[in-house]
Amino acid sequence: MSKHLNRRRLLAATVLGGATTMLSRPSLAQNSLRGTGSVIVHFGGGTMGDAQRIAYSEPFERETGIRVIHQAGVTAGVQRAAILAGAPKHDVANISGGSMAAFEQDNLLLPIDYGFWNERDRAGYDIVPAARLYVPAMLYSMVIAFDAQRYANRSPQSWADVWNARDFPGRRTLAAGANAADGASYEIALLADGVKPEDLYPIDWERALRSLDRIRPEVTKWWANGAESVQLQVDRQATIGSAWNGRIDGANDQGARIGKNWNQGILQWAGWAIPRGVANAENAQKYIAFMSRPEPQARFSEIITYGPTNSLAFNHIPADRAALLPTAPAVKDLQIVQNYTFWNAVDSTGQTGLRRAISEWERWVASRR
Amino acid sequence: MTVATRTDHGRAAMLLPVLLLLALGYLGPLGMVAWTSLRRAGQTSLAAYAEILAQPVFLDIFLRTLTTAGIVTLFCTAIGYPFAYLVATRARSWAGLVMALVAMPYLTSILIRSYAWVAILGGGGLVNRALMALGLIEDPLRLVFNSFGSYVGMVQVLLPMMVLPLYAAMRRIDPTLLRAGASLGGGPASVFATVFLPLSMPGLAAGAALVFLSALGFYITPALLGAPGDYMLAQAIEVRVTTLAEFDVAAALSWMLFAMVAMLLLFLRRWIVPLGEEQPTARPSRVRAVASTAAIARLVQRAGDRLAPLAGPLLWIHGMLVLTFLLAPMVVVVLIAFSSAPYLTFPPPSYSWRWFVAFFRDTNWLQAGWFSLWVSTAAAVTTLAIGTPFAFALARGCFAGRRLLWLLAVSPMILPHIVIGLGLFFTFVALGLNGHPVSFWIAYVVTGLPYVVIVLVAALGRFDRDMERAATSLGAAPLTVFRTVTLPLLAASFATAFLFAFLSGFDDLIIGLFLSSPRGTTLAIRMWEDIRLEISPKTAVVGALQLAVLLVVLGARGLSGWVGQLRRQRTSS
Repeated sequence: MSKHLNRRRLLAATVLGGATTMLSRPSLAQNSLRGTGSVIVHFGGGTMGDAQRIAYSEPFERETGIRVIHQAGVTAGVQRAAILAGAPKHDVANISGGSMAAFEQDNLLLPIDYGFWNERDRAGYDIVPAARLYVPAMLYSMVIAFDAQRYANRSPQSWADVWNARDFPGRRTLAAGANAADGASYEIALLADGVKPEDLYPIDWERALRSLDRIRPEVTKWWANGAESVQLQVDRQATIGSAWNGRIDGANDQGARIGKNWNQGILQWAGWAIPRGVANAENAQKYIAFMSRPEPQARFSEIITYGPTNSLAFNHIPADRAALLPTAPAVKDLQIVQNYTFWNAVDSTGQTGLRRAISEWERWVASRR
Repeated sequence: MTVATRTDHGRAAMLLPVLLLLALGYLGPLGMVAWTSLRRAGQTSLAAYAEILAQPVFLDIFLRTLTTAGIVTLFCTAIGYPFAYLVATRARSWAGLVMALVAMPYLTSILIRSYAWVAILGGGGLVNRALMALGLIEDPLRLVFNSFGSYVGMVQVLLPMMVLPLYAAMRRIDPTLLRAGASLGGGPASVFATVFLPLSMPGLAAGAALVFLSALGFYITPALLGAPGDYMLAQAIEVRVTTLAEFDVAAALSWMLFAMVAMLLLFLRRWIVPLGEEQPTARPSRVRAVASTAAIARLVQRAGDRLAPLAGPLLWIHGMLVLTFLLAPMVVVVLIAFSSAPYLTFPPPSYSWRWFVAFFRDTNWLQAGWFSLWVSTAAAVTTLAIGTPFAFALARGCFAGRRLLWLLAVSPMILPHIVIGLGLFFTFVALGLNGHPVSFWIAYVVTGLPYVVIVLVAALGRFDRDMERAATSLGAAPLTVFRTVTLPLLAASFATAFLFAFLSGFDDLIIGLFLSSPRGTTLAIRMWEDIRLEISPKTAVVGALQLAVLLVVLGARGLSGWVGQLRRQRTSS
């Protein structure tokens, strides 16, 4: 990540954050979150980690006296194993929306104590509601990413354009299907094939795979992780594809020139939750309550372009910055909120959407080698 | 009778530490995982196995994994044997340096290593640009993101596992045997085929076992450099643990893989497990087979003898190509470490120290680096300390069940690490060791053990025991014999075993993710945390620093050897 470019932004964010806190303090009676001891929280690393440290952890420590211990994030499966073993990895876990339902169903999470929250904040969660067992942490979108120079005259406007190799020649990159819901490739394939957003679910697996068949010759690489999706474009190994909006902005902050289009973006989220069996449950509640406030959320979105989950945060975000966020009023409705209920529901074959996506992908790569 | 009892006791004492470790750090945890594979919805059932068998695609994935591992082993043999031969017979003064360079691919994070290959083989990569500049091709060749790229990445990482045990075996071959062969009228090719080749077989068997078993567990390299069709079993298992949390299916897949590989090893045991006194060449059935083809063999050998003068130059060319192949990605990594760019790009626009500064300012990384270093060293020392007597007992004792013991000690390499990590994690939580550095230590002794056992058993299989007997007959105590005779003769094998044991811990990410806690986080985890979403040149710094340390150590060794030589010359004159 770019230290010098980001530092400027971080500085601006800190100043802005300080200013808003000062402005709001006299008028608002913030709930006291003071406490003792420590809390172990999921840590994202990279720019995400910077944002979390500056917007949440450091001000939280100053205000509450509770020490924050950052611990590397783990995948949903490892977290689940840890909870089952009675030794959760974090007091405050970060779980992707696609995996959250399984944690809920199996009763692996402690209820969120909204008593620590400022009253109006819960209502601010108007895109994805704050629920009994989790609180949305950030919103991000899987969008069309392309080489801004190469397609300067005419850029891809829809996933159908991404599939259109005649008018938009160039190598493609899309998420490998083993990424299941997080990669969003099945939704993207259906949208490219002309399925209307409202008819997307339940996913028609056969139709999605036939659509992927068509784009397959143009795909230089099915990306395995978020870093790869953008790196392929930075290196011009691919010039059109899918990527998370935050990753595109991150690369552009550092000098890359990757274009993005919000149209038909797949809006996704990850949530904060407190696993059963944690040692510092109360401190975890306080950390989550602190992160629900609009000011620190605004500061977070100043550093990385992931949308605030409490829409009141937009009152504290400058307009030019807000325009970059996936939940900005102008672009919010262009996108489709991913249906995690579908992804976790069991279908007629007795499998969840997640599992089906992985088995279908395994069959697909084997049958068309 | 008393003698027999004493040997039994001695043998038990040699085997016991490893057996205790395996019981605690391996069999217990795996027993639990096996139990998991048999449980569904609170009941004992074979549902997970039935589910796998009902899906033909798994057969495809199993076969693909086994074939890929087999092909990689063949490539490593074809490339590694002549290379090890060159270093062992014609470049011995450089051997230390060359062997260290061969081990280099291990020292960088797998993600940055794969990126280096993309920079070399990609559409705008070094190879394509060079070929186009030379006018040999018009459009870039597809060298990566297909099976070719996947094989290149795998062979580069696995070649050291072939070369190092081979080199150790070849070094022990007594040159007087070769001279004897030549003096009896054998041409160079005949001496090679009848004397050198058979004597190097234990090294080849060990190398092949290491490469094949490691390749079975590969999935990140094929996922990053291969085509979607290069989907390995380890990836299917990984996704079932991390995304689906279907621990029972993951465990069942692992056990099926284990059963297949165990059968394969038992079938090939005479070639792969060189235990005890029986020698594979001494079997009559094979002698007959050899006799029937002897005429052809003689013809080939005669032709070989005539072509022998060409062998030298060809070996050197091959050696240079191999070193280029192994080191080209390292050069890319070092250049990236000095990049001035804020993100990963090759070639770097200009050069700077900024990423070194970033690395040394990051106390998290330094702490994690220190933790990785000492925990992997402690584990490697322990593995060698308990693995050596174990290997001696296996290689030198003739007792029932020693092949099974070999298989047991080697099996942590066969089972996917994600499944071992899962089992270990539950065990450590139950023992109250969750997050304790001791848990890493035990885990890395378990994963390091296969390397030590494979390398040392192979080394001892063809060890000339007359040397030891001579020392004993001259009155040396067993430990003195070990220190003054056995150890020096096996030095290269010990070094190889130690290096692999160390790296298996230092390089580990998968088990570490289960064990990590605020009390212990490894460098591999810190790097993973940083590059999951964005690959920064900071990870390249780690590779560059490791290279620097290695070169300093080698330089110091070379210097001290040189100084010692000077001193000896002075005293003798």
